[in-house]
Amino acid sequence: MSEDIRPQLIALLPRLRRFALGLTGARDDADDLVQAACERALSRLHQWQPDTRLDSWMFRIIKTIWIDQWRGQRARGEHVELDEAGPLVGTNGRHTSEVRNTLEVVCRAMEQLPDEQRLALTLVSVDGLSYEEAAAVLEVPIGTVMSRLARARRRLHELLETKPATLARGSK
Amino acid sequence: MTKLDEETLMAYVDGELDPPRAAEVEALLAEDAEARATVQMFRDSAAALRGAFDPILREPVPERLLAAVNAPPTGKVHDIRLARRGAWSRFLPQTAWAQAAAVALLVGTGAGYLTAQWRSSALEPTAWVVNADPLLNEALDTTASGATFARQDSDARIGREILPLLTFRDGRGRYCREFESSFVVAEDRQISYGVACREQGAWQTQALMAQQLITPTLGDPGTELSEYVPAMGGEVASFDAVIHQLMVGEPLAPEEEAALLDRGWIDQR
Repeated sequence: MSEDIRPQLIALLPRLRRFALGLTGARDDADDLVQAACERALSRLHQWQPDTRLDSWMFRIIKTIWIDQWRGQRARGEHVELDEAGPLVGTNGRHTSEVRNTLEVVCRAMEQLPDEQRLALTLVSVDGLSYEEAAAVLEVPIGTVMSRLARARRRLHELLETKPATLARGSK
Repeated sequence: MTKLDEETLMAYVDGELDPPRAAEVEALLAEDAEARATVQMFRDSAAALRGAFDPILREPVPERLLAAVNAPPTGKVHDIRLARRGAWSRFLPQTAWAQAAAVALLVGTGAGYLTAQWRSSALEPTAWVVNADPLLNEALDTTASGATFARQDSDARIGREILPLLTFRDGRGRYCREFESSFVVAEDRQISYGVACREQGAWQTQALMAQQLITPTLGDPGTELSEYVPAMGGEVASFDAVIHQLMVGEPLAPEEEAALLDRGWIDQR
């Protein structure tokens, strides 16, 4: 209960940002989400059990906040844009813009997916959790994770193969 | 020939099959062009995702996130809650703990009441009916989170302090507030934590986490603060679970709360 999780949390931040970006599709929103999750985690340390995985706990907190906020945003009909301003690591400008463009296209495609599918996809195919670990974070059976994941990958593939131009519109 | 389903092929690509099953799949793939195309599709989709998202891992983490993790308590709502909880755990008397009745968690809208019995010999045990608690109602109506509402009773022997900690909306659109409530007699203080939601103009207590002192065995006025022990984690966790269950979205920002205090908790629109 009194264990200091801050160093572990700092080490997790890159993964938490990547996970949050997979959900929100927008850099500023992703960082807002990670920040809110960190604040919530630190204010609820008494709920943290040191013998369990911190990454799973943080993913669950991010998922909960995202679902709540996502519902709110949908209700207000807002559309989230990928922030163009975020820094991307690259040795030259061309490489950076290619990376940004790939990410942009994939994020636009992921926005087409239902949120349960996006969660499964982000946990397994972006973060690399096993099906079992993802099932624990999502609190659903492994079979459910698998069917969501398979549908998400099939749909994503279709979107990326057939409509990359449509998805990338507005970028550049 | 057994037809391979999509999920098995995906599990094969993702390395989720045990070696014998993976070998079976490989044998079947050799004769099944359609399945091979599906495998390629799953490989491509995984590669596209890793390729797009992995660069994020190599980016510097924004300063504000590091600051959020490293920040000492700044007086923000969450920090106040944390600090107050810490203080509370120090106030639980060991004698009550020994009776396994140190903490009572009352959850419900109707029947919940708290019997606050004082160990101070100067006072008769007093029952406080939570759902008819005009001071709590007044405090929650008028006091900002983080500010203390204080009153003395008529003969000035019992002080009452209420500190709202957090304001949020629940799934039914009600405004709810978490609060700390203390009864104070001289140096003695009994603290409880509660959450109440506003309905039909009054704050209805939804859950209360309170010390339940049992007077006869606590008559010894020599009990010192240093004998107090930490709270039972389970009760604190279930109390938080109640709040988490009620809360939709994030707590209200201070300016939203200030506007509600001004308007008397009536929704704008």
